[in-house]
Amino acid sequence: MRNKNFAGKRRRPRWLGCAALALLLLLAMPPAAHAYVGPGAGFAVLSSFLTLLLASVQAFFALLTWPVRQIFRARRRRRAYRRARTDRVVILGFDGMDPELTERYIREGKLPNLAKLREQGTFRPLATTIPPISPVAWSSFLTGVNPGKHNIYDFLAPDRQRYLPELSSARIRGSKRVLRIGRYAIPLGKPSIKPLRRGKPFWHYLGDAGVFCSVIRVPITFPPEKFSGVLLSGMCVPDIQGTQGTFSYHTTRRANRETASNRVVVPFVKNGKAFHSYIPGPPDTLRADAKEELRAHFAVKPLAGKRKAQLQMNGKKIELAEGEYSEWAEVEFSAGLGVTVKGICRFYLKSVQPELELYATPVNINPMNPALPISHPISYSVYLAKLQGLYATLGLAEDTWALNDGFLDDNAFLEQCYLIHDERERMFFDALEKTRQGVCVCVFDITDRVQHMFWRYLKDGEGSDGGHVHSHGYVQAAAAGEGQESELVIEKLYQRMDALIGRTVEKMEKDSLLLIVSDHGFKSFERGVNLNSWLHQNGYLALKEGAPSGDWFADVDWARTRAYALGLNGIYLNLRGRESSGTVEPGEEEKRLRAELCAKLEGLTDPATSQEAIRRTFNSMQAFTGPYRENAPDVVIGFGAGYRASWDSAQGRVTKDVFEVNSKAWSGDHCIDPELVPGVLFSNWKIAGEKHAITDVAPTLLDLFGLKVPGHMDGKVWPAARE
Amino acid sequence: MTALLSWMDKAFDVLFRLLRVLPPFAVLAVFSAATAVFALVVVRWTSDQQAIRRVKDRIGAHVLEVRLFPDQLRVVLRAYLSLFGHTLLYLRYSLRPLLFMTLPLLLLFVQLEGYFGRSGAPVDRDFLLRVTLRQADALPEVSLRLPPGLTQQAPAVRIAAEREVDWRLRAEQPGVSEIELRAGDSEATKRIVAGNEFTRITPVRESGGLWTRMINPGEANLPAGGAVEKIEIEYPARVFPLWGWAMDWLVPYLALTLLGALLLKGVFGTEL
Repeated sequence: MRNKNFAGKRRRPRWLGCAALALLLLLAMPPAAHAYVGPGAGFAVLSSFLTLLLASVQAFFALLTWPVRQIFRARRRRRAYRRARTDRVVILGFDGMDPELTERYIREGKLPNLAKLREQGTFRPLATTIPPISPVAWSSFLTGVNPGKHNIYDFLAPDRQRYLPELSSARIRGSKRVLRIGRYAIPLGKPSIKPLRRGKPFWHYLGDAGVFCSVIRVPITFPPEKFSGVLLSGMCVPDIQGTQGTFSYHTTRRANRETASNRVVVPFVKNGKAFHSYIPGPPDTLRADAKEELRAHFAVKPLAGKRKAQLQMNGKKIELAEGEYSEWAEVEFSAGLGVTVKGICRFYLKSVQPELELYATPVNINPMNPALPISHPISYSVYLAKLQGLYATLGLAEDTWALNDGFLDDNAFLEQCYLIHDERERMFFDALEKTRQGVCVCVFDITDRVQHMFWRYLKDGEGSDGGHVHSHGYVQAAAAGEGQESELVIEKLYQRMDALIGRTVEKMEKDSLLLIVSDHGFKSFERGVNLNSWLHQNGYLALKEGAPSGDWFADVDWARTRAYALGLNGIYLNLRGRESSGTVEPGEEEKRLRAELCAKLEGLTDPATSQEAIRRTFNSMQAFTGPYRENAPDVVIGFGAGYRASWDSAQGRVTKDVFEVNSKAWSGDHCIDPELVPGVLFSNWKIAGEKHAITDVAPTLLDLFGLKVPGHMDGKVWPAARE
Repeated sequence: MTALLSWMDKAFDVLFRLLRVLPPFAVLAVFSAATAVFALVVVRWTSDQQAIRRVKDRIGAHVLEVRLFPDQLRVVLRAYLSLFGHTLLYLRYSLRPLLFMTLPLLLLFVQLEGYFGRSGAPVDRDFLLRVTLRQADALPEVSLRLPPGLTQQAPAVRIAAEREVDWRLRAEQPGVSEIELRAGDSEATKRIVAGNEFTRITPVRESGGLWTRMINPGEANLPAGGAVEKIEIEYPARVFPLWGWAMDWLVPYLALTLLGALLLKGVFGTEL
């Protein structure tokens, strides 16, 4: 029987306004509350406690085993550094830093840190490779050998069976084994990535000897190879589509999709207040019957009364003002069966009115969750992403094509370059901090990309053109007053690099060695030479009768063709047994034709300017040595200053004229005679000797750390000494 | 507030009656899932999600740093320090959702403890009834009246120093019954559950404030002015056997809640 008195007097909820106090009391009264505190508090904090616990356990075991590991490591390190002349070498690579321009800016007092290095240490031009192209030169930098031994001659190499270009540095193929279930084709294995660059990078030798190396974005390091150190791959890392960079552009201006080799223009479709579009992704390899690539859909809503828009993708909203880049956004392509391919891109809102126009960078491999390995160890890219946020991973991350084809303006391109550069700087300084002993090497690409695109604004004779007359439309615009600020872009770029050098020097010990190298210099690119047209007009390349010319030799009559040009500097013989429809007999005919082409092309003059368009030619049999000489272009063209292979020539197209004006924003170049475009070598040490070459860096480093230089290396050891 | 607590008692009684078709472990799983969802929503809306993501990334980076640069003693030690610092920072960011979650979850756990924490008094085995009086001089006056099915196994033990009277009782059959206590003019009752039936069990009924009422759900507080201060029954703990391990309900509950939260965090877009 219940006693009614037990209900008692109803009390006012005294603590109703004191919830926080009750919580504190709860936590402070373990005897009464311990059973309840667990999950309540635990849920929110348990994961952090778990982290703490795991970290503590790891720390405990690490500390416990530390002495043993350290003894082994210390012995190894002592051995490694016993004969070393320095504990640390820092290499800053500035792609395309030009010695003449650098010297001029130093003279004008604009580069104080480089001036100091020149005064107290070393400044020399650094001989580049044949041909002077970044992938070739950096491959020689890291292997210490000529291209005949590392097998890289250009960005592209010809597929001799199909007469089509393929990436010279790596070959990516899908999984060989596939399980077919209905309309699905499920790959039973990982895609294969085969490195095509040969030769062993210097950091492999150093790593084997116990010298730790941090390697950041050195070109032609994709796919990353195992060694004792950390590496983030650089130039030639593909985007998520497997290309070297395909951006997308979304507009209300056009009604139909337009696809080119490096871009896709996708029209917006209006639905209510929002405009819908998609980012094209990789091919849908999971679906055997797929006709379209994978797509990541998004919607854009212009914000009323503002020059802003809100972008929605994957349930996330990004607000963008006109002329503004977004942060890196994660892009997901669903392939079905729960499979998603993930990447990252930045958006740039070009305009809201009168037309909505949005640019999306090529979809980069997500460093936090890489679809392909882009670092060694694989966790290094994750580490960097966790430490500093998402970053560009694409080899050629700065989208020169978007500016070249008018989809981005100068400012938007420049902003993109510096956003990427800032990421790179953060990576470099982190690597510098982590590499107290060993080698820290980082390559900055911005110097190359900005000079390619902004050389047109340099005044006559200001660059290292030797007084060539600029003849492209952009410079005329600059002369009309549009390019006042643009004239200073390259100068400011060099100053930025100088400041970076200054900060680097501050963080280095006095006895450490600092090397600043560039792979080549720069010259103006005013007129293009269509080598395929020249070959056609001189009877070496035949077109099918009546057929117009197409991209990638589409209309070439191979049965009547003896030579063709592909890429930026190379002419290839249509050699029987090597090319699928070869006509030139190996042996005497081959040698004769090679020599004939060299002789005829060397000194080729542009009738419009009376200037020497081709200064030198290189016979591959004489220019290269090594086991991969057979893969080289048979003739390498050394263009004169102001000239380069024309855009059409590089793409295997035959045009009516051999010479043409370069009217693109891409107005500076270096794919010419290597003598005209040496790189730079700066150091805080005195480096003696003559004719320093980029091939010398690897053997010099091995020598600095007391290692024997392998006999196959072509470079020579620099006599370097501390002041 | 007392009314709210009574309402909650009733609501949970109804809920458990509906869920009685399920085995206790499944009922526990249902509550774990509900807790996970609740926690995810609270964390999502009350915490600085970006800051949590940032600090978690930093923690991850420093863990990787130790693996990536094992030769660099200074780097490794600094990584550990940073790891510790960022974990504390993570705790700081967790504090706000924790404050928002604690009261509702406390109310929930008290209710769940009523169902999952104890088993009924074992049938045909002795158990203790412990009564604490407000004044020791009332000890001789205390009498106990048992309903049918409950028997007293030994004379009452009076401990003057503790103001306590203990009875050794035995249930002859399973079921819910009510005992009556009389001390002078005061009367008090207490519900007793015998057998292994899955029902609410309140081991303690005592006088006190709202806090006392909250942590002893199912029965109202004893009156503040009455002679009896506290009535306590020694119920055995209910255990959940799992792969040969007998564990308190909190262990599987917590594990399932965490698992649920980890599985569902993507759905709710919550950074934990």
